[in-house]
Amino acid sequence: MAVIHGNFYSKTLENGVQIEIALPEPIRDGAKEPLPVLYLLHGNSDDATVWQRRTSIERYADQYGMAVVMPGVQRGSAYTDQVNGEAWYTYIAQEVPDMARRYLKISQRREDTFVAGLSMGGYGAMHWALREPQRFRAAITLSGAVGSRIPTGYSLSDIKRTSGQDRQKRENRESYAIRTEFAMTYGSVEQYLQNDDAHLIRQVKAALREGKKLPDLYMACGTEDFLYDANAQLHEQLTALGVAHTYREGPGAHNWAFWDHWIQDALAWIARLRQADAI
Amino acid sequence: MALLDVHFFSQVLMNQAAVSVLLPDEGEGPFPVLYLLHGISNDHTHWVRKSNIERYAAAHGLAVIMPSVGRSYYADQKVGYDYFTYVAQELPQAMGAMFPLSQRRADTFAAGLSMGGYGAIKLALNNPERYAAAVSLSGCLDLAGLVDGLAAQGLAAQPLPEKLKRGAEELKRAFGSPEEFAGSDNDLMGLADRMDPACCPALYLACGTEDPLMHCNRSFTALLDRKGIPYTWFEGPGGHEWDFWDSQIRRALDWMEEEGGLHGGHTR
Repeated sequence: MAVIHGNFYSKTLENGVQIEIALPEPIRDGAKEPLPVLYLLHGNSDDATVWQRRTSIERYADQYGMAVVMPGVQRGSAYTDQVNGEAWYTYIAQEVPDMARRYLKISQRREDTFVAGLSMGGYGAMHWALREPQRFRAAITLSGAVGSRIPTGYSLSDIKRTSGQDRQKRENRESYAIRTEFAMTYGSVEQYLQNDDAHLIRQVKAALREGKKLPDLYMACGTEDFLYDANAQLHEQLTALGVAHTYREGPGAHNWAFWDHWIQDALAWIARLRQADAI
Repeated sequence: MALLDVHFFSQVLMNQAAVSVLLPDEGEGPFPVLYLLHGISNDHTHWVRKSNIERYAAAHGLAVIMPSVGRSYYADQKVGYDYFTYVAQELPQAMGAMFPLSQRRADTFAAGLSMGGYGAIKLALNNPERYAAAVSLSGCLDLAGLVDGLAAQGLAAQPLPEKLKRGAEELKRAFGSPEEFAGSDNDLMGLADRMDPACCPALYLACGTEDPLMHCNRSFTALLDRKGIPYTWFEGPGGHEWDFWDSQIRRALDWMEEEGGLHGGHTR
């Protein structure tokens, strides 16, 4: 494959952005048709480069002749237009595909368009696909942060009390960051709870109400993952709603050994969908 | 503009190849395209690092493709690899497959500095049907003197100073003997001599008055004059250096729009 380290300008973020791209080798395949594409989203605290560094995604995607577009977002943003911050959803859902269309030769057809991600990116992939079900043939979440996004054990008053306090920041940078990021992304706990779009299962219900055709969904989570319960719960909820989906669980925790294995399984699953479509 | 660091497998070089690519932010493709070639000892990153090419190309709505060829003289080397075939054939194919680039002659340009100036003119003279214009900045255009001189020194002096020895050896690897070089597809003097002036791409040639390569620009332009091949010439204060190349590539892009048929048309 060809690998491209891209530096672009985002009009949404009014900032330079980095996007990593893997393209099927055009010479060998003589690719003239626009390429099928997988938008591949990273998790919290990672960036555009991490899928290439921690897995062999270039090699895996090559087998299927699929372009892979890997953008980067700020930690804590949850691929969301933040209440007090940046418009990450608009960047990912509008501008990145527009860049892919403009600068590369990427198919615009639904049956050629896929999204996947891990952890926060798993949430981002599902969230995007459920907001724009007409865009995606399928969406994949690996160890997705698919449950409540309220920082564990914290209430609104905790967030109000602690954010902005320098002593807290110094003593526990991570917990300070998580609370601050939650406030930046969603505002308050109340706002978050009232925001139907922020909750995957409510997005699913809304799409069903409106009679929209959902993308095929694929979920995988390790049985030792701290997000296992949230994934198992979403699986049950989807089943109860009668939403067909592929659910995989197996030994593994919240780490790259798991994601490296299951992204390969997910790509094979995509290939089977495409084969079935082609018949 | 978007700056892309591209890595792909070259069937011709049988190796991973690195290319820097600039694509316009304004307008829709297919974009007019400039193949911009580096000098000896540089690589695909140098134009972006040492000049303001991104800013200048943006003003013309021009895509820029910057390959890397080592110290090969953009030659299908006698002993080595087919760098000319890579740059002339495979690179436009591969880039055209990945990015929305125009394939029309009127939208296709080549430019370079030093060894890359030689490479750009070599592209244009060997494939005049593919390039609207070519630009050489401080190019080593008449290489015969260099090839002959180094070959002679190689025979005469033993041992050669290290730097000359390397130069003589790599010229020989690229072109073979002076006899093999003369009149070959690598010999710009021979190519220009055989060129039909009516078919020749527009040429922009520039060299600094303090540049040691001035003499091989003078002998090349003298030949163009004799043959009646039109060209635009610039000489001015400057040596073999980036200050000269930065101001001259800017001027050359303006020239491409004014006289080379470039219709990018975007200003920002």
